[in-house]
Amino acid sequence: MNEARRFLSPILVCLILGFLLSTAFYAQQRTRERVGQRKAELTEIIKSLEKERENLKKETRKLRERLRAYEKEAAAHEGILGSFTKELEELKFAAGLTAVKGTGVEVSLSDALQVPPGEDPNNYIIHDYDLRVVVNALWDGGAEAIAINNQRLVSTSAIRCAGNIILVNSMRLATPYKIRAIGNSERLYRALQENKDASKLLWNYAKSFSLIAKIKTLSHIKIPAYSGSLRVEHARAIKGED
Amino acid sequence: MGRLYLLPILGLLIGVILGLVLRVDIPSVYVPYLGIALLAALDSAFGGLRASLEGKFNDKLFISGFFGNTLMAAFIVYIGDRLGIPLYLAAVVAFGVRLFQNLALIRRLIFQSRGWG
Repeated sequence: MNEARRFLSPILVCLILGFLLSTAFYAQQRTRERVGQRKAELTEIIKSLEKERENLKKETRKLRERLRAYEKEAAAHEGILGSFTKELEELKFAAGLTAVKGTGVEVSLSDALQVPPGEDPNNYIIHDYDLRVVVNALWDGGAEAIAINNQRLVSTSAIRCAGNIILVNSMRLATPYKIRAIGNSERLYRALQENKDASKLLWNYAKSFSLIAKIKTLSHIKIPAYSGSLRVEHARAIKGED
Repeated sequence: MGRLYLLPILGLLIGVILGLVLRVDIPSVYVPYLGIALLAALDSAFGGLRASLEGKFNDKLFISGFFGNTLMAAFIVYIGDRLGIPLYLAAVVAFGVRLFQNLALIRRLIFQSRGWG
């Protein structure tokens, strides 16, 4: 009996040790499962939403094509409508629903290739507000059409941040960013130089944080049409006011 | 009487089964503390095994060491967390090194006692 009592404490310790072991094992297992599940769920949601968007885009394109066919038909058949059709074309052009070409500039921006250890990585990447600064400077310089990575900017376009990507027209863009603008190349370039924020970004910050910023003046730029939806749900036109 | 040394192993098995059956839900914030406490407990258990092989086993020292080390390890990690000092690493290294040292000693003691070495 005395012999057995000598083993009491090892038994107790081993019991607790075993309990801790299996509890830790179970806890670890569960954490891993939970993280994996959540991730898989979110990925699934994103994928299905992106698919839906692609389908909707396709449908928009189809509907626009049909509309164009109707317009053409109408223009061919009736003379009075001809002038309307022409006006419609002009309005579409102004609204950014047609692809355009011309002279202009291309601003390329991309994240620094590496962040020095111990530095804030936020300083070494291109943010949504950086794009906005450049875009605003370009509008200021008389840009007639602007696209970021081929996403045409229209009256309802937004440039916003979503995690580590930037959303333009609700499309996900990542570095490198190419901002193309059509207009008088010299004026556009000057506007970038003269705009306080844009020049700071393109010449000062780019250098100190090794961001990549290039400006090219081009004689041939093509900018695609806006391909997103134009649905207006809540706004109503006020009659008699312009 | 000769088989009594199997009792601790039986205790270990019962503990493992108990843990698997009860499935204590530990909030994921406390999982690191559990890990470090477990490491300290393992270290103490192997220390106890070594001591008993050396014939220096002391009941009270063993029990106090087991609970003391386990709780202190978790506490030190908690303090480090609060202060922003990675004491976690210090605990892992300290207990880890001792664990392996004890294992090596246990191996040698077993070899010696059997006359293999």
